Amino acid sequence: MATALLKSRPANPDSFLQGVGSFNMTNVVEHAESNAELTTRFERDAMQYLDQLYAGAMRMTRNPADAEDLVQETYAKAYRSFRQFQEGTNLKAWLFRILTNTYINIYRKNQRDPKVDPTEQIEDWQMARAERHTSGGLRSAETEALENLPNTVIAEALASIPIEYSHAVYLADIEGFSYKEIAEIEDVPTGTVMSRLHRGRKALRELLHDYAIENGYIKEVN
Amino acid sequence: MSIDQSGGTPCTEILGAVYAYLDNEPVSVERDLIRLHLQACPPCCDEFDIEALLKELVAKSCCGEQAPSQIRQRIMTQITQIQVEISKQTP
Repeated sequence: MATALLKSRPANPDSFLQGVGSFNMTNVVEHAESNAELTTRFERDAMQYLDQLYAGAMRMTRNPADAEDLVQETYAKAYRSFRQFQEGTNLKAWLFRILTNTYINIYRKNQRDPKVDPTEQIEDWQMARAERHTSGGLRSAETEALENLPNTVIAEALASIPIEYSHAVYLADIEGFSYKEIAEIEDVPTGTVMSRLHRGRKALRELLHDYAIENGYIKEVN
Repeated sequence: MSIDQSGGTPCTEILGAVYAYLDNEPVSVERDLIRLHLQACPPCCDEFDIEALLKELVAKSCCGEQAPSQIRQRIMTQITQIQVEISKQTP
């Protein structure tokens, strides 16, 4: 359990709590809940999202051992703050926010800053492809091909696009969060969520389209 | 595609609203106008179909990833430890 993942935890493990204010944190507790009661409530309310958080962690870390550690760390942090979490606010979104922040704190900090802004990178890439693919004739063939693609191809395509974009797509389409909820989870403005979704979906569609052509699901029309 | 096909709403506006429409978010164009337009404009209709299908495919592709059975126990054990720590701090 004492893996590199947990050892590389930032010095202040509670720094992730900055900005949790939008989730209606409050210090007012109606009655003094015992620690045992708190644990029971946590197990009942928070543990039901285990599979979803694990799937989210798998998508971010892309390997089971790190995903397990990430989920465990997420639940430990959530438990420590759970007394301040107000019932009635969106627990699932709150947990996903802790998951996302924990991931960023543990993993992203250790990565070197990319030389090129990934936002610009994908824009060029997308434009190049958009020019190639402006053909109205492919449309219904595209729908048909997409329907026949195996699930694993879609999951792999989603995993191969920049995580800022794929995570937004994942939160919207798999977890069913609204733009506002995703904005809270990712701690970015709603406009950024919309642009990430847009880029993520365009990239996904182009990747699947290319895959479909390369593997004979669509015949390229000239 | 940029020609006005129906109801006076240009295709560009309809296509600009595709994600918000499919995500059930507030849309800049009235939903009824979008529906009318889609009925009359096959290219836009195709575009909506593809995006709706992608959304479905993404949802299906990642379902059912279950956490390994031992994680729950690991988490609950850790939480019990944290609970003990907290109890010591605030007797």
